[in-house]
Amino acid sequence: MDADTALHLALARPESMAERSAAEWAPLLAAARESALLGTLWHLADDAGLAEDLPEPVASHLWGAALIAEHRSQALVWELHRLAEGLLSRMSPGVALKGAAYLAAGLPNARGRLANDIDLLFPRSEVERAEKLLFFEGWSGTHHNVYDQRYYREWMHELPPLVHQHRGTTLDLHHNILPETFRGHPDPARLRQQSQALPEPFRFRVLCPAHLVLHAIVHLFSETEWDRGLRDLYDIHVLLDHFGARDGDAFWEHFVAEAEALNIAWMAERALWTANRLLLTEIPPEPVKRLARARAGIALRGLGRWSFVHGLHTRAGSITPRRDAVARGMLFLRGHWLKMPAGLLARHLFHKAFLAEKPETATAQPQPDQHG
Amino acid sequence: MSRRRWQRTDGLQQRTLGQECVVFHPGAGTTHLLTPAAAALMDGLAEGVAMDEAALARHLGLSEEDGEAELRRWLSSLQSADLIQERP
Amino acid sequence: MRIADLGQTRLQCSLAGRGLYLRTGPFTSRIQSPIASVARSIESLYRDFEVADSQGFYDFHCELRAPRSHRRFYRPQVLFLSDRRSVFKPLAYHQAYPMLEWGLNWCIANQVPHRLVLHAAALERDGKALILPAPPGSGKSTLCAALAHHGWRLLTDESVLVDLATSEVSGPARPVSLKNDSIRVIRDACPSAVLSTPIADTLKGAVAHMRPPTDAVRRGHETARPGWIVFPRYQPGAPTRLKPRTAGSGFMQLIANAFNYAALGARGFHSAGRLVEQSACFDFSYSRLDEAIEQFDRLADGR
Repeated sequence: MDADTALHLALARPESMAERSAAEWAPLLAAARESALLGTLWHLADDAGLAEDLPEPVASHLWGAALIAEHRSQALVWELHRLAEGLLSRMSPGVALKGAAYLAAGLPNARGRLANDIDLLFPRSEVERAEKLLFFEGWSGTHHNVYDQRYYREWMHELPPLVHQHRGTTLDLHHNILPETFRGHPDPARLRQQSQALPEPFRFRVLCPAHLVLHAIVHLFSETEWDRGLRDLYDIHVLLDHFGARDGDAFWEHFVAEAEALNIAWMAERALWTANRLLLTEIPPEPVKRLARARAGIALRGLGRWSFVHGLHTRAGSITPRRDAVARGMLFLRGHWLKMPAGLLARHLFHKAFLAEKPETATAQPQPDQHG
Repeated sequence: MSRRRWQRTDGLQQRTLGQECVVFHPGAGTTHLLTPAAAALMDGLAEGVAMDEAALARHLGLSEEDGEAELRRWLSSLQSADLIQERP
Repeated sequence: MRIADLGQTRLQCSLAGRGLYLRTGPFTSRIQSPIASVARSIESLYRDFEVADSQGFYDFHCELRAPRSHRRFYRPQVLFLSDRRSVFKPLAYHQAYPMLEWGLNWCIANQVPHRLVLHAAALERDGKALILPAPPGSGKSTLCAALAHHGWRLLTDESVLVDLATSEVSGPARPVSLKNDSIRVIRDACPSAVLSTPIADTLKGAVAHMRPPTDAVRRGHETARPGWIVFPRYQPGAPTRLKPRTAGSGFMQLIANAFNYAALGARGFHSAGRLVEQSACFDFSYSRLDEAIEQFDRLADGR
């Protein structure tokens, strides 16, 4: 079995990990490492009672990754408390999004998940006040040039990322879950109104279950880079599974209604199909039927699905690298097309290609002699 | 001496190495090397119990008059490292 | 089966094909490369290393090849890929083998989450580990290569592995990287050492690698108890001087030289703490290698 298929199966049916041979495990670990899912696999194997039976080196890699994720989570929770006790306590509580929300709400996908940044949602009218208050606690902006500032502040759904000057943690302040210029613009007030308080001692709020999943969907299916996409798809899978099992039809009912109300039913339709296809997510017939209206036309549907499946392949584990590269290219264009009207998109890509200073990080590679 | 009360941050990891002491703050992810005096001060603070400055000075054997400035200095450096917090 | 038993042809075939499964200490690396200089260097420098089952597990997947661009025809370059992803800027083609060594170091520094990994050399004597953490330019590798031929067993010249639970020390015992003047120094001081032909004009100047002594390779799986942590500093003309350092400052300096201390959180802290508690810490400055070797003999004998 190829490594990507084995990874999908391990996420969907953890007991399948017992059948992996040593030769299959090596590329499977590489694919999981690339998708930041090693720690997750450890917990899945442990829950399935397989931890003891894993080959020793496999167990070491998985266990070590879970350890690192655990430490990262601990640090993130501490940072959340710090934020809540600090100057932000002068404002009405923000809504924690993504990794921070999964952790604070104790959702099952949080275990082993390597949380990176903290994401907080505030009303548009208050988000810059939050930024100013945070400045006094050591959080400062990273993007200083005029174009980037304008790009974020006028067109995006979040401010330029803040970084803590001592601890290096990244904090994103959002006022929506999609860019201002995105085709079909969700109303952020709806997200905040239905958000739920977290249990003590957290002062932040989290999105309601339907919105939590829809945000995970939006995060992946509006992306230009699908590099860590499988982790996002796994979030969607676990959250659907968790809320579906807990709240049954009521959850699905609300999920579809909110997808429609927020103008993102079409993304939800693609997400449910992809999650079911790759991670065998169980989806009742009713939401599938209701979301069918939001399907793409028959010609585009096939192409879209093909690019999602290939875009979610890993570089380490795929057996179709050329097709994956084409799919990644298509998803890149698709993401930009969705994000901005054509005129603005042309302007943005022109700026990025010819005028912007080339970033030192992200794509920059180290000199090899730093390891010699 | 003021009655400000101080408490050790929860969850700190600490090891004694000879005369010195190293402390790890799991939340902030920082590691600190404490001088013997700062280590003694930290030893005086049990987790979950706030102590006032007069009691801390007694614990360290500092006199009421001369010790105050020194104690303040230690407290302020421990506070800026998030190792202790002021409690109302 | 060891590299020496494999023979040149089979070695080249596996490198150019599905990969050579090379066992170094606790790790197996799957190495793929069609480049002849890589095969030649592995054949010579890894002679005593074990070849693992190519149907089995590997920890790291490394590939060295030319980038797929027209440039390969007029100024050939080489890429190092880990898990099929290029991790460094390309180098000139003739530097492929040093790039493999740097790449394997990168894999250990970035893909080993279950041990504390220190940027340090380490050697063993009577079951006790001598750890030499230091930034480049401090003479760490020179000292390590010399000691490896004077009564100490080589554990590693680059990445020390510390067990998170027991703080026992081990290393992959791979070839030792020598730069510029230290190549001549080691040739003089260790006549039995086998060195690769120096490669000029790398980012670090001339680079050669020393084959690890056979005994060190055969005992690559044996761990050592914490013994000494010595921070070396080569200074031209300096007298040989070993000066005790307090455990606390030794600890801080040690974690500054760790690759994954920050990521491991409390586990990394306690692992490093146990290691320092059980070791004696020193600063060491030297300019003469023969005196340095004597000094470490005395240290081991408790004199």
